[in-house]
Amino acid sequence: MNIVIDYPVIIALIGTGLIGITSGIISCYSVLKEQSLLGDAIAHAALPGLCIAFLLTLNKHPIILLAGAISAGLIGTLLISTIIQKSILKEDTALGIILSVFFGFGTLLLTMIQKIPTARQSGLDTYLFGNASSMLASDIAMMGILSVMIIAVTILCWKEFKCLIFDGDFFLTQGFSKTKSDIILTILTVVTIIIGLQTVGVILMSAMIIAPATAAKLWQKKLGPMMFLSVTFATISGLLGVLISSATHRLPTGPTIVTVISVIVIFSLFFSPEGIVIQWIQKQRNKRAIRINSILINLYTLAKTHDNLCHPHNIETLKVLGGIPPLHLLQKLERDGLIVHHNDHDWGLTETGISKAIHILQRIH
Amino acid sequence: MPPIIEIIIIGCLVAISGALPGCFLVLRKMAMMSDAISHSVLLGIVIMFLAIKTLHSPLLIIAATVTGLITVILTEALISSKKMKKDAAIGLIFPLFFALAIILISQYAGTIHLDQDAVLLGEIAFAPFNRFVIGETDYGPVAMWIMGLIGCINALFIGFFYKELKVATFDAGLAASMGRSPTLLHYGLMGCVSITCVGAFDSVGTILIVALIITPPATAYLLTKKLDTMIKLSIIIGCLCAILGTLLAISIDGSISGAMCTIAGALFLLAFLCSPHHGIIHQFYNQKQQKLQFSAILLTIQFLNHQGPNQNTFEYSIENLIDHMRWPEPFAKKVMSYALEKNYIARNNTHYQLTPYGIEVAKNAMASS
Repeated sequence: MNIVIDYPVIIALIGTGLIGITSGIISCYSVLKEQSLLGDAIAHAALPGLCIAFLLTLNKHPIILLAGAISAGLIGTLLISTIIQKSILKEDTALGIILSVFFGFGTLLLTMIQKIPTARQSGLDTYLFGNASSMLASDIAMMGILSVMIIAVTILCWKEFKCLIFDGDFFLTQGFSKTKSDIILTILTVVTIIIGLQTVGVILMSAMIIAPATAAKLWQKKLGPMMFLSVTFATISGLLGVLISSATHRLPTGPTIVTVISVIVIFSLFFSPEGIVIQWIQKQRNKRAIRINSILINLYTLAKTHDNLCHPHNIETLKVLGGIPPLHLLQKLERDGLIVHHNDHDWGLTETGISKAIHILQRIH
Repeated sequence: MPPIIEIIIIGCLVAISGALPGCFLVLRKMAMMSDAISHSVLLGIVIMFLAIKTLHSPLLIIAATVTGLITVILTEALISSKKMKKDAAIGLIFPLFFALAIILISQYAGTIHLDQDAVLLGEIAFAPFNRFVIGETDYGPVAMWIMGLIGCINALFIGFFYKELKVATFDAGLAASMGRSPTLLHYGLMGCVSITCVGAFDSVGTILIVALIITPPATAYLLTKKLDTMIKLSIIIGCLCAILGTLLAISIDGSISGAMCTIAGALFLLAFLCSPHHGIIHQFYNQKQQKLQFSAILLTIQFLNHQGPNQNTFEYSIENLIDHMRWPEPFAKKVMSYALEKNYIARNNTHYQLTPYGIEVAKNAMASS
């Protein structure tokens, strides 16, 4: 593997960096609103918009295609919410219908575009799978402007979005319009997805909307830090993806980026504070603590029937009080100076052991 | 058989195979699982292709079906770990599988016919070229036999477990209390979706099969409330999509699978607007009608409270009425004519009078509130 940082790679790095920032932000809202799959639907729904914009103007200028894609994405979103509100169909069905029908209609248009002799469909083709290395400086400029707009709107509407996501009813009582904020957020989501399509493509864009925030949520519960982490994850995977794919022969960028972000999610799933491994360790520790405490309490209860609280007991007697404790736990307690053994089988509490047992009992009651 | 008929038959078989499990997916609110499965089966196909180096082997279908089921298992595991919500879990697994498949294709299978466009979009027009020939006899396209077999498997599964599926879909608690295993049914259904996606993989492509799995059942669901009618209707709608789609594609010389989806969308839109029970137009008409009815009753109450110059008659001139009810004139006139039609009021020269029936209506309305 040899990494060559030349002009196209730098352009691609800037581009994916911008996409990392915007999708990291929007990802948080989508995941917290439990509308992650909407991103998938919007990405697919954009195809007919691209095609119609091209068929109407016969021009492949990025602004025209972008406008077409964004309007189709917005129409798709609007239709999804109309279907959910006005019919018995649920969200998943509405998403599936719009996603597949729009995309199917788009492919029909795409075959018609291929027939136009002057128009090669190359520009539209990258849309399907994305191609970061085909980005131009003009694309970057436009993406930069849109990204700055997205960031600015997010900062301006920070409180509104936060209220909207976490407590919609409270938001209403504060005199804000739910629909207005919802529309702004939807527009931001659509724009983010559309500008991301050029790098990662239709199918994989949904990963960029879901994965960063899902990973970040496992580390951080507060919106601000979570968004910071989400942006970091998305940007890192974007940059790493571009570097790895540019250094490897014939490795497509989009899938590489998605693989990197998925690795981050899997790592977080296991090793974050809420992760599977950390929780398992915590559980084992708790179990051990409970067993140790119960040894102390049991020995104390037994010794209470004698004058001397340090009175040693045969460990076999603990059988009636919930089982014989394993030797290594007894030895650990002895090392901690809480119990002593008088011969092989007789164990008794020390003075510190007694006070500890009393302390535990007080805490329980 | 001419190729166009063969294409239509294959299309119908895909639509039928998709609609059967699709009905249950729509009812069980798991429609998006079909999207996830249809994408991730690609990984199974690619891995098995790299292992055995041929695209024509039943092993490919088995591997792909297994990948589909693995996707379902992993997604369910993520959901039940409570670390993320259902939608996020669905949306995490399949992009990863799809990305891995694309990477494998680009690294190891660059020269063969397994390019990305074909995977996504499929081309049913090429299906008749691949013939099923034994000895000298030509038994038609391979795709037709594969889809027919898959359709039979789906029909057998759903026919055999119809009652169980019905109970588990509409009342999961009851199904569990009756000792039916919901897990087995669930994975059986997901298995059906997986093999359908694999079978449709090279005829209609991975995304468009989603349209044929979800849209016809959703359309049927708007038209009926009975499960068996819904299944029958969605099969008919699916076949309509296949037939009309093929004809549309031929007339404008475009992608057949794309045209099928477009027709599916158009039929859905039609049902969404015009369904007799749930359609938007019906809802709109209903609302208008209810508003008129309510306003007419209000009108009778207003009459009752506003006695005319003669004792015991309740009359009003239309000008006074508009003034008192604060309704815009066109709406007031509409309500008046509705009330006249319903015989709540009667005309008396320039004035309107409450009929005995109108008095009764007004009193009833006031009593019930």
